[in-house]
Amino acid sequence: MVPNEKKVLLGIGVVSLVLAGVGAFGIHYALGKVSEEETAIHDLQGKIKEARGKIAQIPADEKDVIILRENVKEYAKILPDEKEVTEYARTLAHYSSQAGMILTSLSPEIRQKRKGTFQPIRYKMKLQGSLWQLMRLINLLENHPRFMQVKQIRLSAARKGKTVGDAVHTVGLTVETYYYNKSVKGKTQVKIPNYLSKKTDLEEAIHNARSKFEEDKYSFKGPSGRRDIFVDPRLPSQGAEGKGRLPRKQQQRIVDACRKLLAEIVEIKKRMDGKGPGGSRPNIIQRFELGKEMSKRIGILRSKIQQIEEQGLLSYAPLHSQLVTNVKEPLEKLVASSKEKKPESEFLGVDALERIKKSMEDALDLGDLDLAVERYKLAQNKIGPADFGTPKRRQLVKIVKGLYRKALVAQEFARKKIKITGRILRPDGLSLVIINGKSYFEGDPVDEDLFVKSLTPDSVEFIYKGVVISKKI
Amino acid sequence: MIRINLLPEEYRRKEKTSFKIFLATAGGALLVSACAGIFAYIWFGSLAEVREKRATLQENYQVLVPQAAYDDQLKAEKQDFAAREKTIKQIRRNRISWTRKLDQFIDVVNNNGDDQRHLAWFGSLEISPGKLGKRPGYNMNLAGYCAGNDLGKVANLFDDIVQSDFFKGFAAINEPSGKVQKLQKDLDPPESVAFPLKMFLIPGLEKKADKKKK
Repeated sequence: MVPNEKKVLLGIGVVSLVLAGVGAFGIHYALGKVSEEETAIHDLQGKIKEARGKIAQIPADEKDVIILRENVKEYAKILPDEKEVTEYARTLAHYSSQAGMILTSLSPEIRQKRKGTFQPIRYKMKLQGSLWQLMRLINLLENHPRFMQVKQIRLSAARKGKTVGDAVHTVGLTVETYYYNKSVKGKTQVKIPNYLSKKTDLEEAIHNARSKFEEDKYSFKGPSGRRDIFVDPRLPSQGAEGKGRLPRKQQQRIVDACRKLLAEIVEIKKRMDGKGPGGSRPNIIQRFELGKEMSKRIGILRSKIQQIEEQGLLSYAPLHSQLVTNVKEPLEKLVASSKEKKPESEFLGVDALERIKKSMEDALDLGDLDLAVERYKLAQNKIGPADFGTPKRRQLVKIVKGLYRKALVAQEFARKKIKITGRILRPDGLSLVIINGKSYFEGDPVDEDLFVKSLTPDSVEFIYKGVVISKKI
Repeated sequence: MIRINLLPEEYRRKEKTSFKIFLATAGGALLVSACAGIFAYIWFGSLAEVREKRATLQENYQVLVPQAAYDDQLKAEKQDFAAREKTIKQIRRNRISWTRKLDQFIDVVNNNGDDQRHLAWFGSLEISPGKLGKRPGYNMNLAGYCAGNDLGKVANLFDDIVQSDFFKGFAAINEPSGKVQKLQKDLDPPESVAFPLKMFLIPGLEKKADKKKK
């Protein structure tokens, strides 16, 4: 080999290697770029999957937000905003007056603002009144639409007065409410497309969610014959003469007499209901006599109770409680239950209605409309309301009333002047009938309420006010 | 031997390239071409393809972004409302109906007018927020009196209180105790026993007990 050739070869080799090296570097670089892009693709695919997952949840999230928004509006009604705090003070004063208490002082309690969406605000009240007035006031506060909570009660009992009912106690109340703290940054509401129509579709769900929050309100039952537990109930030891000062034993005898009278009334009632000794139900005359006797005794007992209360004969509070809970209230319950009529004796049963239905159907089949109407009218007062009784009874009432209506419509139809003078029967087309000189096809209206339904060889069927009536020819 | 080519250059026979050089050149050119070809394939082929794919995916993603952001906003609003709802529920849960409680208490003390088991009354009542250990609740303290000198009647009253619906929700009550008072001869009976009544109510405890029963 010539030395130059070696050099040339070397040169070629070096150049080739250098160029190949550059090419290899380029390939490596390109592959790196490809790898980068693939990584980016993989990330994007992950993000797309995540985004699609979120989008799939949009309907459910919209539903939840709509329900929450609509209900939080309602809930927020129970918590006034800042502007209505003055209204709160007015409410406290108004309720005090409504309960009959004397409000001697009303002052806000200064409290530090705390973090959160709601802030408490308290008012201290000083009042005077009886225990029952206080109970009425607390009940009014607790049942107020705006949230109010009695946080503190301090009661000092009155000194023993002349009569139990006069006891005026001194009361301190602390009442708390909350207001919505608008200063706390809440998130702005998202605009939901077609909000109103979506809200309409969710009315039931909104109502169901709201109903879970409804509280059972408690109603104060009043004194109900009970004594004020902040008053010493003991009677004076010297049984003074005059109003409300009967000795205790005498008062006890009065209550015992009333109890005995009530027991007699209860016994008479039992006998009237067939639950007396022997167990047999009395006849009409016996029941009438017993009823008279019962009414008489009820009258006596009622006037006795009235007299006792008007004259204040029972000054010993526990005995007055006994009179109310063991005599007066049971008497009123007994009287109320006696006044309720037993429905079975007032309205017809299922069997009777079945018979009426059959006879009306038979009469209508025979074309005797007057008989069908008459049959209904005889029983009309004893059929009763459409929604009374068992489902079978209700169904029968519906059928019987329907038959009556049909009979009335048929009677009205019968009074119409409809003279059929001819007809053409077409088995494969619309038949024709001549009525009062005019021709009508099947389905044609004769007047506003009357249509020709169909023709048969021996009759023409009409539809009059929704009722199918067949007129024989 | 020296070779002298006397012919002018234009008439001289061209010299042939050496086979080795040719081979080397061809090989080198092949190598370089191959590298260039592979590079071009990758750069203009594979890389272009993945870039296009990425661009398409990016476009798709951009379409989805606003809707996904909308769902994020909905969730954030849900969380906000849920926090408010939770607060309202908490307020309601801890609310005590003092009308109901006092009504029930009056019933227990009245005992339907039966004055034989106990005949009690009270000089004062104080209901105030407090704590039993770490648990917040309400103290209900009364200064009580029972007619007669039989301390057993005070125990009867405490029994009736603990067994009544009124006591649901209360976590503690003091032990019955009493002190016979000075005779009041103008009253019948003249004797009475003074006793303290201290109870502690925990809001929500009554509802928990009712749920457990159900």
